[in-house]
Amino acid sequence: MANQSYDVSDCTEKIIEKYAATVYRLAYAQTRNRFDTDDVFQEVFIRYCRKRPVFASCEHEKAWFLRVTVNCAKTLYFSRLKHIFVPLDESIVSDEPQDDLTPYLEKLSPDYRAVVHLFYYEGLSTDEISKLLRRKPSTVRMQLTRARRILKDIIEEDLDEF
Amino acid sequence: MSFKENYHKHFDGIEPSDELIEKTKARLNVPLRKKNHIFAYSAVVCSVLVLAAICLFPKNQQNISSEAVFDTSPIAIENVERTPGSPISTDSDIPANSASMTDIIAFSEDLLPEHCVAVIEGKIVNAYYKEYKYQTYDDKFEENGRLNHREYSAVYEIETERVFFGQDIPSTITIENQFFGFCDEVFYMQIGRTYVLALCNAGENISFVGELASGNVKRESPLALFYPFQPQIERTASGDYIVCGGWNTLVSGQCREITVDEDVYWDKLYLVPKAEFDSKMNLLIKSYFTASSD
Repeated sequence: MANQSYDVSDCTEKIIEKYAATVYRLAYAQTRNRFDTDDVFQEVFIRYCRKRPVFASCEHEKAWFLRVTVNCAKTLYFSRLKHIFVPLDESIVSDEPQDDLTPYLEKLSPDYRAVVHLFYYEGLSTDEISKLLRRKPSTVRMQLTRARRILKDIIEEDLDEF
Repeated sequence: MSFKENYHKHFDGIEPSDELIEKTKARLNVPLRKKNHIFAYSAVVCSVLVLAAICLFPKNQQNISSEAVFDTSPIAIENVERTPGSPISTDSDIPANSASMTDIIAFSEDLLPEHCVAVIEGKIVNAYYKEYKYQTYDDKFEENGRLNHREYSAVYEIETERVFFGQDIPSTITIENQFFGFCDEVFYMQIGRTYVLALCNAGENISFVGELASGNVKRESPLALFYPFQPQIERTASGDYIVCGGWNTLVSGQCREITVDEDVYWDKLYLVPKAEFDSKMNLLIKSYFTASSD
């Protein structure tokens, strides 16, 4: 029987390398820990290889990866709710980035973190985010506003920016 | 430094390790589809045997067809014969989903006995969003300060067709969900469609944090969906039921997996044949409600 593997062709390798950082950062923005981020990262590319979607444009291709990343992180988040976790010993040193932003981002729910990341890091407009996440533009704007309220101590920009 | 610059700085250093990338490529090389061939060959062999049996024993054909043979192969959600429906009409100010900053526990039918007051089957005949404007006391920013709130809830009017569990359920009921829109649009509850709904009593007023200062917070109805964070059980045009994975009793035995597009969020859905749904539901009610009331 022929070996029916997901052949990592040059094309797939290029795709992985092209979107590795984008997918990883968005997954990390939502999960806030490296272990879950690694899981989401692998799942996204497995879905890509399983489905082999055909894209109309580079924008379409990027939007697919962003949306599937958000969904994989959501699925992981819900599956985590089924398990009971014991908090780690605080003395264990984490390799997560620790800066002024960290405690504020921890306060946001995964949904809000996704919107904030797509807006501030990926530079998408609220209309683009609404199409990507299949939420109304008003919902996205509301979520950004609420997220910014939570982050207000470290945000200096004009609230009317979007 | 602006927030945007700060944010970029925070994330610029976050990258997948080379090891993770290599591991991912390695995982994609694992032969994952081998089992599918076994299933495919088995399916072909079974089909041939069934056809041979039908041809060789024509007298038995009627007996075979008279039994409800339910296809158990996966089916795409687009191919499920759903009743036509229309979503709640809305203006642009109303959010597609209500916000929740709380953690949500995953659904399991074990949760039912605690707060579920009824399980009914009914058709949605009307639905709308209700707006609430109210103020609560808050001293965070100033003494005797007040916070303004504007919230929406989704209200559904339902013609009850069957009551699996519950007492004194009228022929038309109203339910109101303060939490709505938590799954993709393809699973939103729609006017004209029939659902099997587990209901709870959410009280006379909507829930809010703090002490009410002014405004109307009285709900249209104390009844609400027991678990509004997943697709509800939906009766299809053919009479079968679309059921989520957490309903273990309903999705046990003969049912059909429903596949959804990779970019639609919801992972476990099943089509339960109408011939089995009632008995499974009765078993579920008996397990969780009759037993606990004894």
